[in-house]
Amino acid sequence: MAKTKLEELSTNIYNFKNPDKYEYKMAKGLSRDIVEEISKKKNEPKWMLDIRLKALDEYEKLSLPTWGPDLSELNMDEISTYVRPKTDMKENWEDVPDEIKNTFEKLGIPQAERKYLAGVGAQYDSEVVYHSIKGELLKKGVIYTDFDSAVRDYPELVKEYFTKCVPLNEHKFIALHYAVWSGGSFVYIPKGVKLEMPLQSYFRLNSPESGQFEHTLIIVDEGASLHFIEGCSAPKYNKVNLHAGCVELFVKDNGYLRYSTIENWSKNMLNLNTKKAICEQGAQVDWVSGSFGSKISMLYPMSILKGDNSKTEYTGISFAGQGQNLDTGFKVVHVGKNTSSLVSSRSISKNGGVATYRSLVKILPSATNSKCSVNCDGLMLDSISKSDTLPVNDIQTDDVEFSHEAKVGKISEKAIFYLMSRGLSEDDAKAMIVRGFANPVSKELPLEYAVEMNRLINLELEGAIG
Amino acid sequence: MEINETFVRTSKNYGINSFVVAENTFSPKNKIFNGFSTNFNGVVLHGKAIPISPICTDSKIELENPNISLELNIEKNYTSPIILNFDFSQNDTLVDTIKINVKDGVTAKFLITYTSNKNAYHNGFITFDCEKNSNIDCVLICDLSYESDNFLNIENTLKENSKLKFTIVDFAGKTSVSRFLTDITGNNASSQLKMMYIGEKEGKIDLNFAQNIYGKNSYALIKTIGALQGNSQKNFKGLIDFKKGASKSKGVEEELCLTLSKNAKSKALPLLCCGEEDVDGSHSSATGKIGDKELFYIMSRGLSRAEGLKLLLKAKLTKVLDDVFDEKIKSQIYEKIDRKIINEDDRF
Repeated sequence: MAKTKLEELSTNIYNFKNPDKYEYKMAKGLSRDIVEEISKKKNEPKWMLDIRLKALDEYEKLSLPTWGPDLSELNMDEISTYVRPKTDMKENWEDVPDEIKNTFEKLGIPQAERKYLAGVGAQYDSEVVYHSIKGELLKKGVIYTDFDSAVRDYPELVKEYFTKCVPLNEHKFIALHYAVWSGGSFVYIPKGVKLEMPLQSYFRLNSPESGQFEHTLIIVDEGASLHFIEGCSAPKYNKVNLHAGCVELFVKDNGYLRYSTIENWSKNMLNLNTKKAICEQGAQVDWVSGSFGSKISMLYPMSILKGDNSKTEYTGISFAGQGQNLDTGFKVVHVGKNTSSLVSSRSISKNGGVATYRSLVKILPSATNSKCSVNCDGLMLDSISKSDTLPVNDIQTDDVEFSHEAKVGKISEKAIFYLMSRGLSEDDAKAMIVRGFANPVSKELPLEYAVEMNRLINLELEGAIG
Repeated sequence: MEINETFVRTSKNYGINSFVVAENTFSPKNKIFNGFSTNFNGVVLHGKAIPISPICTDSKIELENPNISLELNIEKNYTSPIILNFDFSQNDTLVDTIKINVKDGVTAKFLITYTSNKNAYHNGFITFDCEKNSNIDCVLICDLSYESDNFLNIENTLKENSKLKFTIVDFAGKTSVSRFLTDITGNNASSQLKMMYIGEKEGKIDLNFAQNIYGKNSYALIKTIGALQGNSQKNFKGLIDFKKGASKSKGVEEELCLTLSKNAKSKALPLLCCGEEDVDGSHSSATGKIGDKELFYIMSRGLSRAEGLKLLLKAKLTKVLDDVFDEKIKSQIYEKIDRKIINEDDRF
């Protein structure tokens, strides 16, 4: 079937730039002085500085991964690791400076908060500029604050959990993260508290040639439940920006956490994020992930099913367009008995984009009567793109049900023909099929986000097919 | 010494190439092998043969000086299978290279067997070069005793309209390392690999299978089914790679590992790489024990647990043994499976 190739869309609604105004921008590069300076600017306790310096040592010792996309264009000497925006953190939306406020208004954050969020945090460059939470949740003992405040206000809680899920020497970029982290969210849901409405943190990186290293730590205590939404975006610059955040999730006995991410970084961003969850007995963590932006992504959320009867589900979609190399996937380690995991991953590649699904399923001898099912589909919209599936399955016990299935191919011509016979144009038929392909992810999102994701898919598709 | 590494870098990170062989494995004690027999008249015996890519660096040195080096030019159709039989009853060490050139339009069947009742060492390299319109069906059986080490490397090239059906039956010994690589360069070509294995005791099985599809409208299959008993372990690395230009091609990769013991370990890396839009690729991988419900049903019909287990296992393995063209050989394989499973004493 003939294709009409159009130019890639150069702009979308996320690609608006504010002038690079800041109160303070750290000199480019990474050194002990810079790490100490960040800590000093934040007026941190010594124990946190010690962690930063230890992480810096690890960063210097660790080497780049020998696999995955080429990261040679990343030069830390060209990246500023800390940019403080021209405002302190506000709890009243009206107090946020106009320029930053307008940014988040364009992204729909305050409207969302009014409509259906229990709390919201907004980070601009390296610092959280706005944080709020509904009063009734505070009364129930819910803590939702920016991470810097948590270090100051809840040091014992932070010390107990910080680096315990994702150790600082796990890989080079997590060591970098711990050395220069700034911003992020801290959430504690007390025993038995079930949040009906989600909490959301939004991360916006405006400053060129800089990095964002936010740390998110969530503790869902016994029997509690939470839906947490994370959104990310940035305007496009010609030079490389870096995102090396870290998410540590602790779900205690019978707790439930859903962690949803819609990531639409600009296409000059290297997104080297690390996310991990530890599930105790009977706990469940569900990941919903949409990766649309960034130049290179290396993102493999991980669940450790430590407790008996714990569960995890991962539903993810990635959309790799021109110049993008999205290397994403999921890792799960079954430790406890009767644990189960369900993985569903979709990837779409077009205009020369590279979409790779890379995963690990590890079932330890202790994880008897466990179940794991992995399903991944790759859709290629043209023959200059690439779609690879690289799953590793390590099964160490016989008392297990494990299956992995993957498919790759193009849009079915029969399906297009059928839809066209019902009166749709070829373009509309293809777009409808792609949206249908992404449906397992969008149906897992709250309605407003599902609409947003479909809009992103439409934007991505424009110029790709037809 | 790491061996049989995949073509994919990520595997190193996950320890899938953790398979290590003792250094003294590659030290053949005896350079004479006189257990070779064949029904094919045109075998050309070479003194030396240098393989394209050995299973590991050390094996290359050996394969430069094999004790059996054969070249077969298949220039006409053969109705009866061409038999290449390697019997270890007189010697314990075989380093062989077999190069088979299949000419245009030729149809032939091969039966290659390696048999040993005592400790043996085998390092083999087989190539099939299939020209246009050729049609080859090959069954390869490795039936070496448990203490044996078996290294098998198979490389094939398929030109236009050619077909290759390969069935490997591996009653693995202490160490069994297999590599199978096919380049489907021609259009409308088809390469099917079916493989079964049974691991026992402390056995280690390492499988590295890849099919690269360059031609249009071609087909590749990798289908592996096996069972692990005792403390045996298996690493499976499979790859179907649709290269740019391989439009209208189809690739299927299926891996099933039945773990018959709680100490058995199975690692799998079933890869699917796609650089062409208009293709149909799929892979699936499954690991688990024989279902209790199925076993209960069979036992309720009056069979013992061991008999039921064997019956269900054979039912699964049938899917890869379909293409064994010789019924006598097929029944021998099933008998051997029976013996192998019943000998597993930690289960019964």
